[in-house]
Amino acid sequence: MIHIITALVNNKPGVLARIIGLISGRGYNIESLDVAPTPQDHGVSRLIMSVPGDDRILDQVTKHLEKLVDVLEVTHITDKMTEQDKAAAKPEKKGRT
Amino acid sequence: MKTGADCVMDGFKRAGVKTIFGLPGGAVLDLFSKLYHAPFEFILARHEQGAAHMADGYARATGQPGCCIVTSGPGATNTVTGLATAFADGVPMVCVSGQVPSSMIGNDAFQEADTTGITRGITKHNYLVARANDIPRIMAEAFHLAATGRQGPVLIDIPKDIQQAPVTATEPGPLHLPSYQPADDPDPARLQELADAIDRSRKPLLYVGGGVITGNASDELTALAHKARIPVTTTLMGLGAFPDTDPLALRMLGMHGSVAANRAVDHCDLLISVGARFDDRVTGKVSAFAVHAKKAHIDIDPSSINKNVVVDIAVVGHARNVLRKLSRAVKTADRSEWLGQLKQWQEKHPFAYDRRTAQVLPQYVIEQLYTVTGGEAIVATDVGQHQMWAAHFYRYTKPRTFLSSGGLGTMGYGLPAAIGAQAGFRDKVVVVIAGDGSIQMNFQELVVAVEHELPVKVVIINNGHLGMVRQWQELFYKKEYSASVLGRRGRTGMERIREPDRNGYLPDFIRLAEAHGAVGIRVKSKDEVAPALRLALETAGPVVVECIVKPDENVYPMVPPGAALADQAHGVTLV
Repeated sequence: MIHIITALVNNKPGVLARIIGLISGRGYNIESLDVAPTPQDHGVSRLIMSVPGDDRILDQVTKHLEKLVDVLEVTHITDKMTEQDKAAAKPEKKGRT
Repeated sequence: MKTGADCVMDGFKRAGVKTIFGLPGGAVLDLFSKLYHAPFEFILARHEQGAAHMADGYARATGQPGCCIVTSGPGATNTVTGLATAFADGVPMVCVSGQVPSSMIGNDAFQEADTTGITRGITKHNYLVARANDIPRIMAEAFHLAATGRQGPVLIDIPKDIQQAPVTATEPGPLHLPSYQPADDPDPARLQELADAIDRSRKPLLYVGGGVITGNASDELTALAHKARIPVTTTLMGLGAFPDTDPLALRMLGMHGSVAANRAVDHCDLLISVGARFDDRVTGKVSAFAVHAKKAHIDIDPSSINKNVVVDIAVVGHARNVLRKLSRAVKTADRSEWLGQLKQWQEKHPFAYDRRTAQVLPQYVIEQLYTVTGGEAIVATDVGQHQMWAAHFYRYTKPRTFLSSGGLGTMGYGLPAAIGAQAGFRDKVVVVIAGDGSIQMNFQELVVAVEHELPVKVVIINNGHLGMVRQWQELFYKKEYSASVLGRRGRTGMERIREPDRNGYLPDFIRLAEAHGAVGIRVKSKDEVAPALRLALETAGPVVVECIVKPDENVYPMVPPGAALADQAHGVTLV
C-alpha cells in the first residue's frame, strides 16, 4: 500500500531532516520526495512524499508529523482512494481533534 | 551594546529561572563570562550527563523548566542520555549548548559535533542559532515549547561567534507559533459522552499517568474519583498523582503492578485513561488488555490517542480542565459491589515479602525508609529491581515526590536528579534509592551535593548484582548469569576475572562516599536498618547508607514479557 503524505512546512534548515527522521526512524522508506517553496509565501514549503507500508503505522506517523512545531498542515492519501476522494481530502488543521 | 550571550541571560531572566546547571568549555566561555555577573545560582556538575539529570530532577520536583548550559562537542554529546530521559517522560528542560564558530561548522573543527542532528530525535524541538538577533525570540519560544502541551526538552545550539555578536533587537516580541496550538478545553460533546459513560458504568476504573502530575491536576483527579467513587490505578510515572493511602487507591498497574490493579483492568467495564499512554509495561499483550471494557482516553497530545490501544471515547484537552468539567458533569454513585471486590483482592494479594527471615531484604529497607521519613520525602530512584520496590513499598501521597526514569529507564539518573530536586527545595528531605550498579554510573556528582550543601540521602540497595538483569536471566535465560554479577565472587568464566582474595564488595561505597566528602554508613543486619536511616536523616549534609541485602530476591508480582495481565505471576511470598 503506497501512502502519499503531503504537508505544508516552514522553509527553514532542519525541518526536512526532522520529518524524514520521524519516518525513517520507524524503518519506513521514502520512495519519492518533492519539496519546494509555495508561490504565495516563500517562507512556507509544500512537501509531497510517497511511503510504502502498513496503514495503521503510517496513520500514526502522520499524527506525529502534525505535532512538529515547523509543520503547518498534513494530509494523508492512500492509493485506495478514488481521484474524487483525493480531490476532496482536506488538510487537517492543527489544534482540533 | 548587548551581545548574543547577554540575550541568552535575558532569556533565562524573562522565564523566571533561578537555578542553572552545567559545565563550561571553550565554546561557552562567553556565556559563562555573563553568568559570572548574573543573578542565577549556578551548580557545576562533574559530568554533563549529571547536569542534564539535575535539570530534569529540578523540573520534575518544582514544575519549572530545568536549565543547563554545556559546551560544544563532547559537552553536548554527554547530555544526550539526559535529554532522551527527559524526552521519554515529558519533562520540561531548556538546554543551551555552545557550538564552534559558524564559519567552522562542518569542517571537523575541534570539539565540533552535529549537536542538532544528534539530538533531533530526542528533543521536543531544537535550534541552531544562525543570527544573534534571533536569540531573544528563540529563548522565549524554547521556554514556551518546553513547558506547554506535552512537555519536553528543547535544545539551543549557539555558535561561539553568535554569542559574541552584537544584537540590535533585544526584545523577543510576541510569540508567533501558528502551527503549535496545544489543546486546552475539551470538546463539550466528547466530555458529556464520557460523563454519561461514567454514570452508566458499574465498574469504572481510572488509569492515571504522569500527565496528571505535569498538568498539576491531582486535586481535580481526586475530586472526580471521590465524587463518582471510581477506583484509581497509576502508572510508574503517575505515582503521587493520587494518594497511595486513599481507600480508592489500587497502586501501580502493569508488568510489576499489584494484583488488584491488574485484575481491576481485566474486570472493569469502563477504563478511563488520563495523562497516560498505554505503554507496553502497562498493557502486557495488547490484544488481551481490558477486553471487556469501554475505553476512554483523556490526553493533551492527540497523537497519543489510539497509538497502542484503540479507544471508544477520546477527549483531547488539558487534564486540569477536563477533570474539573468532568467532576461537575458526573453524578455520585454507589459502587460498593465493585469496590468490595477490589478490596478483597487487595487484602488477599498485597505487595509482600518474607518478613520472617533474618536476612536483610530490599523490600524491608524501603519499608523502613517509608516509616522513618513519615512518607514525606521526595524520592528519586535509579533503575532496576530497587525502582520497582520503591514503587511498591513507599506510599506516595503528593505529586512531584517520586522522580524516576520510566520511559527510557536510565541507570545513573537517581543521584543527580535528587541533587536537582534538592536545589529546588532546600528544606525538604530528598532521598535516593539506588542499586549498586546504578549508583556507580554518576557517583561523581556526590561532590556537588557536598559543596552546595544539598543534603541528599543516598540509600544503596547492594545485592552485588545488576538485579533486574539477574532476575530475567534466572526466569528466562536458563539461569546463565552473563555479566550481571558485581564486585564479589561468583562471576562466570566469560568475563575472565581471577577471583580476588578479598571477600568484600567492590567498590567500597563507604570509603567512596567519604572520599567525596559525604558520610557513609554500612548496614549488614536487619536491626541496623532503621537506626542507620534515622541517623542519616539527623546528620547534616549528604549521607550514603549502603545496605547489604539478600543477593537474589525477585520482584513480584510479574507479568512475563508478551503475556496478558491476567497471567501475572504472584511469586512465592510469605506475609
